[in-house]
Amino acid sequence: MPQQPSDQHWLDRIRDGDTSAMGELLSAYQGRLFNVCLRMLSNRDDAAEATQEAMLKIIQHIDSFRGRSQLSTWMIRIAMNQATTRLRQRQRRPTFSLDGRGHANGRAHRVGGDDQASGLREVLSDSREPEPGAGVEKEELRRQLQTALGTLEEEFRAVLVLRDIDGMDYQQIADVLETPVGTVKSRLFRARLAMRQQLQAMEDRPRSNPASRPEVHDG
Amino acid sequence: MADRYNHELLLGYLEDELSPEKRARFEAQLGSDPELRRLVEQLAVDRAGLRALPHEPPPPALVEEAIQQIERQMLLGDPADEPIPIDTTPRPPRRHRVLKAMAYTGLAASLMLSGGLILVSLTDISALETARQLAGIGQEAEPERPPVAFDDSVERGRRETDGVDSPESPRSTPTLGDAPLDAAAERDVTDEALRGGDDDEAGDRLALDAADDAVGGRRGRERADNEMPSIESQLPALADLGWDEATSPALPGGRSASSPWEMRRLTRAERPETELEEEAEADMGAGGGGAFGHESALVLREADDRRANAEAGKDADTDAARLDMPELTLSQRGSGFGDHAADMDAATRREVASAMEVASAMAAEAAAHEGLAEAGAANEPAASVAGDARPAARSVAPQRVQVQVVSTDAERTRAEVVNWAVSNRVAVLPAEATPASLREMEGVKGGAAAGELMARRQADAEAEQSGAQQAAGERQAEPAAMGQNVYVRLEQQQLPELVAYLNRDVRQQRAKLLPADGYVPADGYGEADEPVDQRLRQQGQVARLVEPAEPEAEPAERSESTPLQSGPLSPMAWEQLLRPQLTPAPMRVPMRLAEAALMEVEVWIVPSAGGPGGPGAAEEGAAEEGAEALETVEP
Repeated sequence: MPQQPSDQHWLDRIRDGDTSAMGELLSAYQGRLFNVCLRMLSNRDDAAEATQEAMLKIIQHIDSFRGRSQLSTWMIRIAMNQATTRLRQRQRRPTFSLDGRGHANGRAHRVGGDDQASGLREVLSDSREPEPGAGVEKEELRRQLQTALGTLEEEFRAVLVLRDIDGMDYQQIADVLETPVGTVKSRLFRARLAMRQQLQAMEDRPRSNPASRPEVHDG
Repeated sequence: MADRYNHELLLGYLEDELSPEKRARFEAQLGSDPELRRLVEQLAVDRAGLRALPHEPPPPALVEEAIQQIERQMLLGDPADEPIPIDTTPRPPRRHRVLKAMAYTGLAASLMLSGGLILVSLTDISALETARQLAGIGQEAEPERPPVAFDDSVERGRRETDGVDSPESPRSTPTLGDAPLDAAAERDVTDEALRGGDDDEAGDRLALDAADDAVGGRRGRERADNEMPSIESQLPALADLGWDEATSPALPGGRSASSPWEMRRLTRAERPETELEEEAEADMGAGGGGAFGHESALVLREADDRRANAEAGKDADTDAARLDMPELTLSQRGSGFGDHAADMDAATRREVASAMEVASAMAAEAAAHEGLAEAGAANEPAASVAGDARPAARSVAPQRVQVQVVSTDAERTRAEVVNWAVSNRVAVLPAEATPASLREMEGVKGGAAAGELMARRQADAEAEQSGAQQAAGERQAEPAAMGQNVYVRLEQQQLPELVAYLNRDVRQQRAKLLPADGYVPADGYGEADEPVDQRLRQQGQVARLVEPAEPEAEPAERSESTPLQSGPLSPMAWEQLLRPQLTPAPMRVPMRLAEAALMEVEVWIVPSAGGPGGPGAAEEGAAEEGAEALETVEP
């Protein structure tokens, strides 16, 4: 993996009027931005739109970046905010799946899970050839993980995404979420317990009806 | 389940952030606790699964699309080309939201305020009605007394009257709002007081009652008003006061009065004002008594006490000219101004009466100018405010006053009057309309004599005109006097200013105020205190005032060098001549003028034959050289 240029390098080029620097910066970070949005929203289209909005804001406000945090952290925070905003909009605007397996979004999504994850499930199931044996089990575990992740509360989902999927340390998570480190640790532990509870409930549920999901009790 | 364990330690083990010692200690704990071990294993598997989730590739050309959107937005500047609005709900600017919130807040506050005012007014009205109802019920059921504090001597007198003074009976500690008197006790006290036994206590008591009413406001006054008849009915000993209904003076219509105060009330409206005032003065001199209503009589004693103190030189300045609150309250709720006046000294009473008359006159004047049908109706409020229960003041029409100006140049004088009126913002009445209104006014004032009055006035003017013509020989006649008159409507205090303005350049008065009746008798007139020069009244001698040609010049010795010009003279000229010439006579404003705020003034310009270029100019060489002149002309 090639060494990524430092934040100052990008900033210097952009401020020097290098028109290609912004494109290169966004291209370098678009994978991280998109995956953060994808794990938060559990939908590729929504994730793509949220990522694009985040890129626009990054371009528009790159001059206001003061360097109090890392450039990547600042960009991820913008992407996380866009994803959170879109997530809240989606919760206020219920949607129904055309395949009949979906559930209404909103508060019911906490109970029944995020049906937007069905798109991700399909992608996952379609894009990867299931390997025999362990491959099927691993794929099933991924699907369950994504489903369980989609049922978590917003703050639990965010801290798990940033920690396990994006690989940030506590301080970076604290910078993105603008919360103290201690809060991040406590929230992370509770998020793992909630995740475990969701997965346990999914395992106990009959596998014949994967659309039905158990309730999740916070905390 | 997880609550039993140390979260930080468990999370640190999962995240592989524990030190070796802590890790060894935690693993030991895991060995001893299979449930904890299973939880940790599940959490580790979940964590590994999340970390193992593959990174999804972003859609192609994601960055290119974003950059193209930015470029398009920068080139077009069209907000419609913005990629995706974050919040599709249109929100007004923050400033507008703040203004809207302030507007709503102000509207709500105004609504609450108006609602509160309405509620307060409704509550006040309902409370007043309730108080009236309660007062009515209480009067029917039991003559309840308001809580009144009174002197111990009253209580002592009552006990002595009843013959009860047992130590067992607790002596009340009277304070305001405490120890209300029962009806019998009150009757005893009142009777005793009015019989003359304990006048001081009863007077104090009623005065305190009135003070209580004043403090208690409207409710207290209502209660007191409701109680007044009951107190009056509790005065049985009229014979003790020397009243005999059989021998009482007969009232018009064959009525008779059962009490002195009823007699007073019935006769007050039918007696002339002067008689009422005289009676009030007489009552004050007599020190009150049966001729007054009881409340006035009781308070009058206090006034007498003060008067005695004033005579003794004590607080004469402070108490002589003021009304204290109990007196005022009693007089306002009492039977009339006469009772009220009994509480004052003579000077204060005259001042109040004068003020009330002026107020009535001003109200009538305002009503007349406002076009009200009856000026008397407008008098009622003023009289009520002043506390006067007499019949409404007479209707006072706008005063008509004549100011005579003897002038050699009538046109110039007329222009002067008009200029003065314009500069002083005084209305100049239309000349063609005013004589009619004047006749109408005279008709109102004098009835059938108005026509005669006008005829005599016109005859006087014509006589003066003919006299001037005769004195001048073959000269042309002056314009008619009435034609040169100016009618102005001004305020009372402006009248002296007008007269002074017309006399500003003249040593003697050429303009003067005629009497209030507006007519000068043909045989001359003069006020009683004016000196009358009998020489000028001799047959064949007439005198005429001639306006000086040069007013600024220093006059000569008037008594010696002033010639008198003989000839026919109008009554106005007579009046002019009869006044002292060297010392300006003080202008005496008729009595009725003081009552009116507005008046219509007829500036009667009397032409003089000695004007420049006018009749008599040839004979008046000396007068033209002198400053002022009184010429003697042979008839």
